[in-house]
Amino acid sequence: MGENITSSDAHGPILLETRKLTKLFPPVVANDAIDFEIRKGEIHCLLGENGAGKTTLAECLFGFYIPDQGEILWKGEKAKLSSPSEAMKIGIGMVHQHFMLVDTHTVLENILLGRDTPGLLLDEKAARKRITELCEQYSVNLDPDALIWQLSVGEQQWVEILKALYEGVELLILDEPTAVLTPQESERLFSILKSMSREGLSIIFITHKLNEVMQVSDRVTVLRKGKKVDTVTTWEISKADLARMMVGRDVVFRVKREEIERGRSILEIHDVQTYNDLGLLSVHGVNLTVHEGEILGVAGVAGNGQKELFEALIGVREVRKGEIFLKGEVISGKSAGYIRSKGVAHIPGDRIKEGLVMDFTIAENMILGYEWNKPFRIGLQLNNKSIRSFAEESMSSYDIAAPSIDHITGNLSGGNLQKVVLAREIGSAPAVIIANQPCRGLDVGVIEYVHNQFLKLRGEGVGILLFSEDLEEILTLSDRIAVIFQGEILEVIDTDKAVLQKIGLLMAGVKETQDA
Amino acid sequence: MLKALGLEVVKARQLHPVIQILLVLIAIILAFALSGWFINLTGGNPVEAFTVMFKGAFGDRRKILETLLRSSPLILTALATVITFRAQIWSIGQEGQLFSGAMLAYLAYRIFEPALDRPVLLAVIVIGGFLGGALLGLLSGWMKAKFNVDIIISTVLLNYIISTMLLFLLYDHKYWMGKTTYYPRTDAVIESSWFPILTHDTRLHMGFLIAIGLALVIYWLLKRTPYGYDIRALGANPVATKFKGIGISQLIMVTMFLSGGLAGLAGAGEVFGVHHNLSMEISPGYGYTGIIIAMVAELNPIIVLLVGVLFGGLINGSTVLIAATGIHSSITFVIQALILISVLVSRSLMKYRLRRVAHVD
Repeated sequence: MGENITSSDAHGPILLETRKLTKLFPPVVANDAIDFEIRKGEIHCLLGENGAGKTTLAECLFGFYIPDQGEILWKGEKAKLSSPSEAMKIGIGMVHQHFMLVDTHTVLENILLGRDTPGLLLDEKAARKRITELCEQYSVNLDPDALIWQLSVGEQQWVEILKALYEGVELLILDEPTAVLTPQESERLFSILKSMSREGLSIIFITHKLNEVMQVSDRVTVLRKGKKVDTVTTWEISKADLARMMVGRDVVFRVKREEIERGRSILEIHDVQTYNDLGLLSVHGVNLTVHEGEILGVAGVAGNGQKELFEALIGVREVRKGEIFLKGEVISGKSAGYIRSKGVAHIPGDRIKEGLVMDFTIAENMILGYEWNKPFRIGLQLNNKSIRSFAEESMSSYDIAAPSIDHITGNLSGGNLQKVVLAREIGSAPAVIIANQPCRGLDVGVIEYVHNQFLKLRGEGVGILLFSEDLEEILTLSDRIAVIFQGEILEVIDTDKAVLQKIGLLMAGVKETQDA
Repeated sequence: MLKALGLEVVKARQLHPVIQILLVLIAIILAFALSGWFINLTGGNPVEAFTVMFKGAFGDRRKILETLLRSSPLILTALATVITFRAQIWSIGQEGQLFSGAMLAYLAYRIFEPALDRPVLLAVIVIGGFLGGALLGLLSGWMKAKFNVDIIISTVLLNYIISTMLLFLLYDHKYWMGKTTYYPRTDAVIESSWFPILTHDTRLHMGFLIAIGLALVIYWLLKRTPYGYDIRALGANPVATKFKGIGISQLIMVTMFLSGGLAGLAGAGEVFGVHHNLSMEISPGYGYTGIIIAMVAELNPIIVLLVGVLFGGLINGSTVLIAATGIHSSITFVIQALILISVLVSRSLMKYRLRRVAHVD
């Protein structure tokens, strides 16, 4: 990381500018009178928490949303951007968080897809040549004839970027591009972006990660709750100052993890295999042991079998081979209800789909799965009194921001939704918690809160198995780190002895072979 | 196209409940207006037709009670729909379950009639009616749980199987065909098996009270019990329900059992309360009308009572229609369908609104 080389002339001419840009999603003001500018050849970060309005602003620049007020100037002239194709036409490209590629088509076909080509026939030969040139220019290895589904996520992202470059864009917008990458892939992306900006491309880089801002940008605009806080030159500001601007208060970057004795083994996974939804073997014989009072982190890039293993552990996915023991009792092959009743709580990766009923009230969601248990039931009926008091207590102890426990859950923000899940699962006094990406998409402040809750439970002797794609999180919380790659645990490392570089390589499937 | 007009469609905020009810009422009125136009097209006089229907349905005390009689099976089949649809179990089997309920109730009557006193006999008939529908419902639920057979398919096909079985039994003197008749129907059941009449001068029988009572029970079940909670959870988010270890297979089977039972009671009521024999005529599609009622009532068991009475009135009011005006009573199906469509459309429209887009220039 070290020095920040301002890679381009920060005083280049202004390429794009917004004046008092406002976008409403009643009752929310997503962008409130935002003045923003990006110069030619500049990498400009848009920093902010989730819901700060970063993506909305970008989608306005990309013509996906039409601002309610304010104006957008392109090279000093008013631009009317009423659709993405118009934005592409004047030279603005965007790579979304979720790629818009056709899996069964080749790289070449995807790049040519949907282009206004003169004449009827695609000039494949010329296109192939141009793509090869672009790849060479930035020294990227990519076969134009490879099918998208054969590519890694990092390569798919490169296809998206190529698509924009092929159009000859002058401004490239990247929405949280590193979310799906390993640390090494991110590094590589940064260096490519820098060389692009040196050649005059302007880049808007959306992120909520401070390290990335420091590493890649020339300037940074911080948004908070739809308003612009400030635009600053990156090398003139510290990470702590940026964090304060983003959150509006001081932030502790790492929660403290106290040394505690590891207890008896509580959850044992023996040689477990499962299929994924396509019927392919996606977990190949995983062995892991979680102890009481231990957080075992499973690090890995998305799609390496974490989801399937998680689902097998909680009883919603068939265990094809192997066994899972809870306190010595076999729980593989048992129903999800049985496993839950034995004290295994879980925090699913997708809280909206898998963890909550959005149409229910907060109080109702607080007992999901526990509605037949005492004290929430007396005889045939739900015990409203105890449900309500449990919900009220959880609301206040977890600091859930909602008008009341009778509020419909669907109206809550992501952080508050996750708090409802946490309150419920932790409230069930579990022996084991299995969590899949518990902090995905949460604000810094909420993440800190969730981490503290996990450490508190660890102190109480609960065994925690934490799946996360965020290496920072794994390093912060875990006692031991297991790295998963293509459905196998490559290695389990004590966090104290962990080397970031090594974990990154393991996540990419590289076991130490050459130099130690 | 909207963009060109400077408009965009956005989600509306939740409307006040009173306004929602008003809008639904307007939708129903609109449905009647459209039906009137339809009557007019066919050469009839809509004002006259609606007047005749209204008087026929709610004109005096006896007509009102007759309307309530008509609404009893509709309320029961609608309640059967409510509990399944709330769980997003799309059972269309109410018609078949109504018949199978009637059949098992009649079978129980044939077996036990000579041996039992009136109150016990009535209880046996009611239980038989419930079980007859319930077991058929359970069959579909079991096939779904065990073999993942689509509920829609299995219930629709079972409707045909059951009515064909009944026809088979009714067309043969060896089985259920009445000794004194060559119509496909049984002999009249003896008077001590008739459902007790609520008022001496009408046909309104205890089935109506059962329907009202069960509407309250279903309301309580959905709102206040863990079982009802599970039904609502399954309906609103099946994935989370599965992840939280709620036994979905069991839930589907129990729900299909109860739902079938409700529809089966409707069948028993028609045989032992209204027709006093068993034939195909006990249901002019009450099972399907129940689905419409449940949808119009937004799957709320209490509103089902109101909508059920409205639809019972439509059917009752139309009986004299052809004699009085020459308009065929099948117009009620047109009205029912238009009510369903307009209420559903109004509900979707309530969720959105048009908004003017400020231009960026």
